[in-house]
Amino acid sequence: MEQRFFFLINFSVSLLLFGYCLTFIFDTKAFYFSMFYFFSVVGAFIGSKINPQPTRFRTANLITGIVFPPIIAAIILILSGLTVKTTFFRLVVFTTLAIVGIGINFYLYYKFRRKRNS
Amino acid sequence: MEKTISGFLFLAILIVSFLSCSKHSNETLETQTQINFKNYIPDVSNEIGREFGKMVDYSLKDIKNYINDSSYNENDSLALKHVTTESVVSFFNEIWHLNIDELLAIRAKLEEFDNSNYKLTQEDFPELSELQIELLQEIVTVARQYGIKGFTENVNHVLMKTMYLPEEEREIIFTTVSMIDFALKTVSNNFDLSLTKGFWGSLACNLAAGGVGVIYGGVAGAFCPPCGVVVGITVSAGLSAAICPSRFD
Repeated sequence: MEQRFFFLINFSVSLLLFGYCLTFIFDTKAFYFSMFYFFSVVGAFIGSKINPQPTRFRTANLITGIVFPPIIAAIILILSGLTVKTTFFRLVVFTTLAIVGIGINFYLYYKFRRKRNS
Repeated sequence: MEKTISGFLFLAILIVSFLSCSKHSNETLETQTQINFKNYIPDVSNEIGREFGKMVDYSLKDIKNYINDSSYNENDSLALKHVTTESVVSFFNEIWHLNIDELLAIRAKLEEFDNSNYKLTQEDFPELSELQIELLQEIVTVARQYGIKGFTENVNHVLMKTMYLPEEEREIIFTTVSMIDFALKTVSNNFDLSLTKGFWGSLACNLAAGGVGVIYGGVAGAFCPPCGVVVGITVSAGLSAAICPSRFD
């Protein structure tokens, strides 16, 4: 449960940051750092699946699930050299567009699946 | 006890990873405090600014080192400080504090002018005389025409014309020429490294560093997921700082 929470939060935030950097500040230090974060979350996830032992570090998973994303986001913000205002504004726009895009895809996916089934 | 140790380990690793990835980020930090970038947009819209901006973003660090270098001709340095045409000099003085994102932003902005027949005008530099502007225009034309090879040789005929200027007005012309000349030389030196310092080289190297980080992160993540993330970032960032050619200095 705690492990899932950790990966859910970190994976979504790392994907968001990576997507943001890829879109707005590609080929910068901030972009590469966000890439490392994203890759690391993926790597850790694969590792945890390979070794399905009962989860230890329950509290650590819970705490770091919340703590990691803002720390990494702050590092990326510093590395990007952009102002908080600019980054926040872009991030809001980017997140909105991403959510709308994902929503449309889900809608179409279920619509077509229903059609196919019927 | 175990959690405390893992907590300390996490913090230590995160700090190391941050330091390794941001060890060259002084310009970025300086930028936030020193630059009001927008103030320079109007000045940037002249051709010297455009050419210089394009060149400087390749060689930011080298130019800073050049200015800080003790062997740098002191007279040139003094000339920079005393030239009264502030719109040009302040731009030159400030541009090497900009980070790569801002320089790219400048370039994007300036490229809007590329297809227009934009010329230096008295409006751009009200404090300059007509002859000064004419000479600066010629210098820029020579820089564009001959680029890296031949600027120094071909700009001489423009410098000859400075004898028609009063002595105090020559300084800005000489300063401009020396700055463009230096920037061109720096760029030409960096061209040899284009394969390793270029975008694709950097991307491939960082992807490789990220790939190694995935493996290490996976191994650590098999036992402790948060540790896996931190180890992955640390290994990637450390490798990147150690082996990847930095394009952002």
